[in-house]
Amino acid sequence: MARDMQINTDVKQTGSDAHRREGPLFGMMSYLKGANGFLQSNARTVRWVLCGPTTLVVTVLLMMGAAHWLPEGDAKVDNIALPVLAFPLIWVIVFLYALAEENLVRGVAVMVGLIIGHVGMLLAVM
Amino acid sequence: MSFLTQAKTKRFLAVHGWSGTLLGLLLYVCIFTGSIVVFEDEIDSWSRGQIAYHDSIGTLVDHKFRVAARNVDRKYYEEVSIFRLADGNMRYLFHTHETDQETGRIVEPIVRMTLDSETGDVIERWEGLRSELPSDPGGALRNFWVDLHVQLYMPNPYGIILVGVLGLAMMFAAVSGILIHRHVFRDAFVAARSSKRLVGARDLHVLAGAWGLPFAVILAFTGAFFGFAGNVGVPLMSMSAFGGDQEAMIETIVGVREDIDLTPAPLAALDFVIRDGMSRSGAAVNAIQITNYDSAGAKIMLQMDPSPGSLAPQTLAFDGVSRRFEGEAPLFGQAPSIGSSLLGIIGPLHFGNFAGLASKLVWLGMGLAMAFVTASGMLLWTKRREKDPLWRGFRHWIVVTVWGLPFAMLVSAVAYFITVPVADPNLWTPLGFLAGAVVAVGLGLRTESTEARLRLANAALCLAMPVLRHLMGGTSWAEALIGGGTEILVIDILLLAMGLLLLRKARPAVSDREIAPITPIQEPAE
Repeated sequence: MARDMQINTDVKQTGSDAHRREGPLFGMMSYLKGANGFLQSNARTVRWVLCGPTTLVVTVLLMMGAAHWLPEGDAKVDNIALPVLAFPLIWVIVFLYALAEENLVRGVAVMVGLIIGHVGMLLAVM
Repeated sequence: MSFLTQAKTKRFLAVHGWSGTLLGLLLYVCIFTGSIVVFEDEIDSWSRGQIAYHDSIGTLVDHKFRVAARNVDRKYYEEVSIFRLADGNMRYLFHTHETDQETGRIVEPIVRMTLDSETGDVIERWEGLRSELPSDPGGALRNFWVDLHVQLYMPNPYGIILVGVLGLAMMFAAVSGILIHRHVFRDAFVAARSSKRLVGARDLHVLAGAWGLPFAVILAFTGAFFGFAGNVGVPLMSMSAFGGDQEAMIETIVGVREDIDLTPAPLAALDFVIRDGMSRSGAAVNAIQITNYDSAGAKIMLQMDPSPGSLAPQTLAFDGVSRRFEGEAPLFGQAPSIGSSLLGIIGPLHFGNFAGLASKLVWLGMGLAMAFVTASGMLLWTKRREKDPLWRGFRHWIVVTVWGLPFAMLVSAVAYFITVPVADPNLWTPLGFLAGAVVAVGLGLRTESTEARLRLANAALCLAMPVLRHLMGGTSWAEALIGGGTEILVIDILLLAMGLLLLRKARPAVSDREIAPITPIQEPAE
């Protein structure tokens, strides 16, 4: 009986909805939903990883990356001195964000985006 | 006013409490010792039992320096440092740089001379590598207490990095404290309730925390900077900005003087240069550095005390032969910059030494308030969970640490005074601390009235310390009064006052006086 109902449901969802299920956008949405489910079901662990090692990695990368976009100043040292000086401040801001962000998917996306962006930039310039 | 939703507040409170509980004991050690070593110079002259000479090297340096330099091989003329020791004598360091044939590393051969500031007689001369410099026995107590604060007496760089982590935790605790406490600004002006229950203790925690908040942020930020900058920040930045080429980084930061003229040439009169520097800066000279002494390429750098109304000290550069003023040498880089200016104020903000005794006293008071906030925070957290025997036990050992740390520090001072005339205090001072810690733990093994007994032990040592110092040959109060050794007098009197206060405060403190049953407090704390 249950199997028959499943078949009926599948039949109903064919037709006009079929193209949505097979398009790349649907694939991505489906993947994101799956990722969201995983993050929500492991929310505490994800939060720990975000606030701990990820925050440290993001802080270090932001500091290292700042050497390449901060102005050097007349003495050509501001881009080195200011990021080192700001290290504790950057850590606190990133940590507070990782702790306060309600939407874990967005939190992970922001942190991963920062990591990828900075690693890419550092690989390109170093 | 709260900026957070209830869920966020709960999360912040959990991390605030747990991080404080897990790192709180180390944080307490770091903050308490930091508050004390704000007076490191005063402690140094007090422990040596000598009248202190307050840094300034005076204006009559030239002749004695030249006479002393004649007895030093020219190869050590590459860099010379001149400064005055706490006991008033002068210290000259002549050093050069060489590559060690076996390891390939750069080493610094050094000639260290100590001269009587009045007669110019050489009191001590030592030659060897800088890394093998013998420790100064007279400064053992100061050095040990400073090490305890800076790196928790752990090997370098682990201790410094750990203290940096504690700085980050303190920064988060301060910021999250503002965010989770809804009426933080209002409560800063409300006296603590006199309740003997948890609510009274919490009021005191909030009151001290609210007033100490700006100070906590400043100290935590600068402390975390010192923890990470040298061991983590600079190597990572050299990797990022210079592809790991540390030489290129050093070239950018301090510059490389090429084609230095090493033709022998007499150094300009140092006494004139000192007077010139003092008139330009309006402050006394703290130390002198001379590079390539006795050559045409010589440079003289004067490290000044902070000018009136200024936070950071200046370094003034002069040509070593013509005495021409070349300008202010920035701390970082080869020209003035925002980065260098900001780095210059980190030290004074952390050490609290920018306005003499007044700023040091404020730093001491606020530091002790922060130590109280840390300890009371841990006690509050564990009090709420004391039905669990594990938390109850932890709470007991927090009390032992809170009172045991000053006790162990006082025992280390006793060990220092006893061993200075007969043995190496650099060994016995830390051992004294260890013995004090063992005794504190021993006193803590009996759970009843631990706090009262540790308080009594602290009181006894505070009262005995001035007597012990005097018996071991330290300056008497009369000599200190006549000679201007106010540090000796003030620290002795403070110890006696503290001893009497501890004896008088017979009533149990926060940890013991909270009586059951405890009124449960709804989190988040309001």
